[in-house]
Amino acid sequence: MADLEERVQRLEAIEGIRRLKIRYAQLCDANYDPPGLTALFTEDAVWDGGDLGRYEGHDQIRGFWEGASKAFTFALHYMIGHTIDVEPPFTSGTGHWYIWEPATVNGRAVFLGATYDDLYQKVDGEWRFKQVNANLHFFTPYEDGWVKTPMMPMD
Amino acid sequence: MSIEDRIRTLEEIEAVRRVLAAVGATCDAPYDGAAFAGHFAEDGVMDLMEMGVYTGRAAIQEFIDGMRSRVPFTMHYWDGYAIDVEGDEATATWYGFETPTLNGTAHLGGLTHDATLKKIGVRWMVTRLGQQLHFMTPYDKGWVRQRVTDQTA
Repeated sequence: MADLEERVQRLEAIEGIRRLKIRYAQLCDANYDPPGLTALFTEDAVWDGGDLGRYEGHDQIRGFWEGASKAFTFALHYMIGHTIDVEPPFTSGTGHWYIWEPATVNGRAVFLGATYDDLYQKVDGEWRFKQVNANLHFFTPYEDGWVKTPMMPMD
Repeated sequence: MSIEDRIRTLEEIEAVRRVLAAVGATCDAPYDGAAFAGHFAEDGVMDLMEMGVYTGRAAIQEFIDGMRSRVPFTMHYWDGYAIDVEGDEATATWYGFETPTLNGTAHLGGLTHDATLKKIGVRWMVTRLGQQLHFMTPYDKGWVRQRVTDQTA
């Protein structure tokens, strides 16, 4: 078994990454606060949402959030069922999360179901996103459900 | 910070998480006002905004027990906790998704919560619990058509 210092560092890293993801959720729910969200990413980070687009670096990522803040007038990001893995020297890590998101998009109530595969990096003592892969499973109008309309267009 | 203090912080974060999960379970149907209020400090405050502010265990218990007749079924899915511990005091925020039956109709509720806690003896006690109601909508409508159904009527 690893020594006590290493075991504590592992638990502290997991808790720090957990807090990063919840901060991400809270800022998404605050109308996608573009500067606040962008600051959670490393300078060279990638946010990759598949059909939602791939955004690399702070400028592109901020632009993505600015677009989201116009289309999504309401959202609650329920981040659940996560696993976080870190290894010594605890300056990077990976995480898998589920998200359940009720939202209002262009005036319509929608449900979004997705998973995340994240890479994290510690920068100046703070955990940041190095890469976020958002895997969209459904994005459906409230009235339809995912069988009738699994993916509605964003615009 | 010593390694002992760092371990204690991690342990207390987990302890607070467990207390909050227990609070959520006591307001699943059937609401258990005594158990719910028992997690509060004697002068604890529950601030439900549009649903009122309740101060002290007796007032909190009375309100929660009153929900039993108005809400015959509900489940509280609480997660997304962000917990900070500083000595014997803690703050927390989290998300709540609820599935109540109101006025005989299935509803979906989206909420966020915040709390302050104090360790009194060996127990973490809630000194203030806040709630922000984002929607409480009939299942067949959704939050755009009807954002909130009154839970206290």
